[in-house]
Amino acid sequence: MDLALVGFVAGALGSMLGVGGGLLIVPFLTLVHGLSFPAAVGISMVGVTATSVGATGRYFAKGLVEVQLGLKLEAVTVLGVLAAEPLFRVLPASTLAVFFAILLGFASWRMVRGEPAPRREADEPEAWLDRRRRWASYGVSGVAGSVGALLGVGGGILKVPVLTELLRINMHRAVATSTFMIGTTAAAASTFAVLAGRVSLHDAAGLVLGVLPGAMVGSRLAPRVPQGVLRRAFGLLLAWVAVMMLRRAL
Amino acid sequence: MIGRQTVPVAARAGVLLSWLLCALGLVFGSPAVVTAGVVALLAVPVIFLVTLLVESLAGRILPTAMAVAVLLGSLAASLTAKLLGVT
Repeated sequence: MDLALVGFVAGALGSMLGVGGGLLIVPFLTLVHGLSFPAAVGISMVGVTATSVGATGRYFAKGLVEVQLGLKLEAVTVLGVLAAEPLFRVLPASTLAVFFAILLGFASWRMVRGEPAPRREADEPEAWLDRRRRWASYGVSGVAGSVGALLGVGGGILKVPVLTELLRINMHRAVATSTFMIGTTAAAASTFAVLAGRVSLHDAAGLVLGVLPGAMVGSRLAPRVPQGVLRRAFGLLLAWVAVMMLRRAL
Repeated sequence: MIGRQTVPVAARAGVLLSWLLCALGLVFGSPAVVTAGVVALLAVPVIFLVTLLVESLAGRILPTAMAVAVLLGSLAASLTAKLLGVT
C-alpha cells in the first residue's frame, strides 16, 4: 500500500517534470524498505516505465511531443551509454561526478534565473533549429548518456535541460518529449533487470498500481502549470541532484 | 503530428491491461498474473515505437485496429514470458 502511495506521488511529479520519478522511488526503497541499491534501481526502472506509459498518451493527444527530435536524441544517448565502459577506464568516477555536478549546477542556474524559451507551435518543421545548437545537443546527449550510465543518473534530468536550454524548446514540450523518450530506455533496462532476477515483481506491481494513475493525473496538470513555474521547479530539482552528487564524490 | 491519434489509444489499452493484471495478481496472490502485468507494461513503449514506425511508413492507421493490436501484443508478450518461465 505504501508503495502504491509513493508510486502515485512519483508518477504525478515525474510526469509533470519529465524525469520519471526514480529520484523519489530509489531513496524510498533503500531507506524505508531496506532494499539494496541495485534492487531498488531495478524496481524504480519499472516505475519510470509506468510514468512514461501513463503520461505519454495524453502528451501525444495534446500534440506536445517532438517525435523525430526525441528519437534522434535518444539514439545518441544510447550510443553514449554504450561508450560508458571505455570512458570509465580513462577517468575516475569521482572526477566524472564533479564534472557532472558542475554541468547540472549550470543548467539549474539557467533554468531558475533564465527567461522561458520562445514557444514553438505544433507540427513546425525542425528546420527552425540552429544547426550548431542541434549538433551541440547531440554531443551533450551522448556525453550525458555515458556519464549518466556510470553515475546511475539518467532520464529526464539530462534530457529536459538539453531540450530547453540548447534547443530552446518550451518547457511543456520538453517535459512531454522527455517523458516519451525515457519510457524506451527504462523499459529496456527493466527487461534486463527482470531477466537477471534483480527485480521483485511483487514490489514492482505494487509500485505500478500507484504510478500509472499518478502519471495520468500529472500529465493532465502539467500543461496547465505556467512554464516559468515548471522551469523553476525543475531548476531546483537539478540543484538538489548536483549537491547530492558533489557530496557523494567529495 | 505523427502518432497523435494512435499512440494515445495504444497507451490507454496498455495502461488498462497492465494495471488490471497487476491489481488482480496482487489481490489473488498470483505471481504469474503479476508477471503478466509487469511484462505487459514493459511491452507498451516498444508498441509505441512500432506504432510510430508503422504510421510513418504506411500513413494513418485506424485507432480501433491499433487498440486490438496492442491488446493482442501485450497478451502475447505475457504468454511468452510465462512460457519462458520468467515467473
